[in-house]
Amino acid sequence: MAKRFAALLLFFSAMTFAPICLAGDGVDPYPFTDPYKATVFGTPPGMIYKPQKLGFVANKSLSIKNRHIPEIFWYAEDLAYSMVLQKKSAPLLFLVAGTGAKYDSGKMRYLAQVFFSQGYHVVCLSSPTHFNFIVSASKYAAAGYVPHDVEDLYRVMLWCKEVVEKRQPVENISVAGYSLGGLHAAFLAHLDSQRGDFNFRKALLINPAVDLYESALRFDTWMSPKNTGGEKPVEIIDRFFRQFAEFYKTRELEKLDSEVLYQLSDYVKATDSEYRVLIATTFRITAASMIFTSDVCLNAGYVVPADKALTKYDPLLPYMNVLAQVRFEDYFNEYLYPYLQYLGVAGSKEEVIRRCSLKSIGGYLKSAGKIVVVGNEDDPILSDGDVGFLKETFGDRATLFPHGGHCGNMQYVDFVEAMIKMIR
Amino acid sequence: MKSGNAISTHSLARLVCVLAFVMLLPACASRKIAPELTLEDRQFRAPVSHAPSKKDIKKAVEDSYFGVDDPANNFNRTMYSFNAHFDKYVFIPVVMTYEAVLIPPVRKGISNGIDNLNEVPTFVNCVLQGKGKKAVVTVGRFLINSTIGILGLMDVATELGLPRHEEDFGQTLGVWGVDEGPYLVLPILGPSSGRDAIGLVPDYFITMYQMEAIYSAADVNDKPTARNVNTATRGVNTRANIPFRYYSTDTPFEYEFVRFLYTKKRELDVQK
Repeated sequence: MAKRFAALLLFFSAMTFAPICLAGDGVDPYPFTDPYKATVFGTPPGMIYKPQKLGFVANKSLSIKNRHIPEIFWYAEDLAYSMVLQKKSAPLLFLVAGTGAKYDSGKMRYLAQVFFSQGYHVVCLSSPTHFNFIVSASKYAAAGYVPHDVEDLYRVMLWCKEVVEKRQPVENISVAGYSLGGLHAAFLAHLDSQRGDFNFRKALLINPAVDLYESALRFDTWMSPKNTGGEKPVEIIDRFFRQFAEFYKTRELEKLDSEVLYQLSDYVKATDSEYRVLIATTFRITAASMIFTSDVCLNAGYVVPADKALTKYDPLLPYMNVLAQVRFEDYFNEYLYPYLQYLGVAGSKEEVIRRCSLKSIGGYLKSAGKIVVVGNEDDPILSDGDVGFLKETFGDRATLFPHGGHCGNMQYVDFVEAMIKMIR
Repeated sequence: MKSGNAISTHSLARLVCVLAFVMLLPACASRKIAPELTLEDRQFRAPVSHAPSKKDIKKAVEDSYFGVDDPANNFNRTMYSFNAHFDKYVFIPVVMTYEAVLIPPVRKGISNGIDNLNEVPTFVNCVLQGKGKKAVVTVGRFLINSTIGILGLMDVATELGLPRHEEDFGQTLGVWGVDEGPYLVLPILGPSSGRDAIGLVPDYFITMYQMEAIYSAADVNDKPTARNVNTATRGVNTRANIPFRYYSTDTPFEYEFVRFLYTKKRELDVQK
């Protein structure tokens, strides 16, 4: 009670964002040893590393003249991004979001402040798999083929670099990304090693995907009857929903923050295979958004008939429904690969898939001392082989925690300190 | 007094800066000339089509976990994009100005004050729904916060373990067994339903009579101005407290998801 009252008093003096109090020496170990729970529930509030200072985030955008924008995407014609700049000369860090995530997702906003408080100018970019990126800035408007996606990112980063340099001097440039953004960061470093526009000082891969295609397929198998024991994924999702409904009904929730999420982690009862379905469903929705966007932009007739121009009145539920059944493998075989062939990209399916894996640039990664990794050994998007690959390729340039799942411990004090140390 | 002046000068300076900033916003989107990126070639056709059949389209709502019947679809989608525009060009710039001018403790005070005033309609609805305990808690909160909490500026009651409940007339109708009716997107106010939209009317009158009583008790001379200030403050405060931004949910199916979540949330609110 006294603590609460003190908090109330503090509130009036310190509400003006000053969340300094770094957790001291006595930090509890990261609580979720189950990688799926970690992935879903993240870091409990008391264990979150708090950046020492917060910077002003400026939302920016750029648009491409005369680009074809489908009517239903009127709201996405500009590529939105953000920057947090020091008020003096400083090193610049580009942050690339994970699969289907936007430049201002919770994780991105957090990482931006962490690195801003370490003295960087920070530029946040959406993933090339996010609908806004596909609509406004992607050259071929189809995401998932890493060499193309990285070309798109590289071009956008050159533009952003100009914008930053007009405002503040830039001492040197680094790049970081989490999840799929981590994989992109590695490929960006590789591309830059050939072109030399950025001359990256460091590339930080946070919980990177090693093999995009393999990870995506892994999610799809989590939806299969073999994992669910014959139950339909939607029944499992419904069970989660019912538990959340009970949780919601029995308390007064002001907002859904990390505190509430932590309470929820204690409340929800689910098996690992059920958590896997939850994670895979989120991925399926992300993929559905990406595929739909590409199909509409290209008018390719994959889920929306080619002769149908969607207007803002058209219900989109029927397309959501059909896409709910489309696996990533289907997207690749029925859409992405044929499109790449149409564009004249050479190579068999296996070769194309291989170009989307870190293994295809393994030699470069092994020799490039600037590339560092912070991740988890129990990351469910990685196979044992992938973890072995990271260890073998990066050696002591990789810090892998035993637990944390996929980005679950990203805000945990030890994890953040490792990121700061590795990029230094 | 002196510090008060300092604050208001400072606030004024911030206001000017923010207004200048808001006016400069459109100039910020830089335009790139890149003919290879105009997406001119749209000749590719996928060799396989998953296009929904007529039957799929007809049964879309029942086939989907996220499906909600939407007979007012065209009206709703028009309103949804109208609201998004209104948000972008009016509401959010106003909220940004509000947040830049007033420091967080002041905004929190305003927010608490309005919450406190809203205990009155909540109380009425608790009684109408026969929720005795919630009604008592609500009265307790109102008394504590209006006195110890300095006219509701501080939410002392929550600290004392009396959580805030929200009950509106839409929920009351729900408890009485009134069907939620069609999903509706109202201008400016956003997602609603036939039932909830009707429920706004009694709540509006309760609040209006309450405010008129307060103006009279406080001997307010210029009532029209007081009314305008009240409406504007409530509007800005409400929007400032809702983190949702249109088209920021990482999916082109946002309208469908918002419709689903709103409908489910209200179902639970009625059961609560």
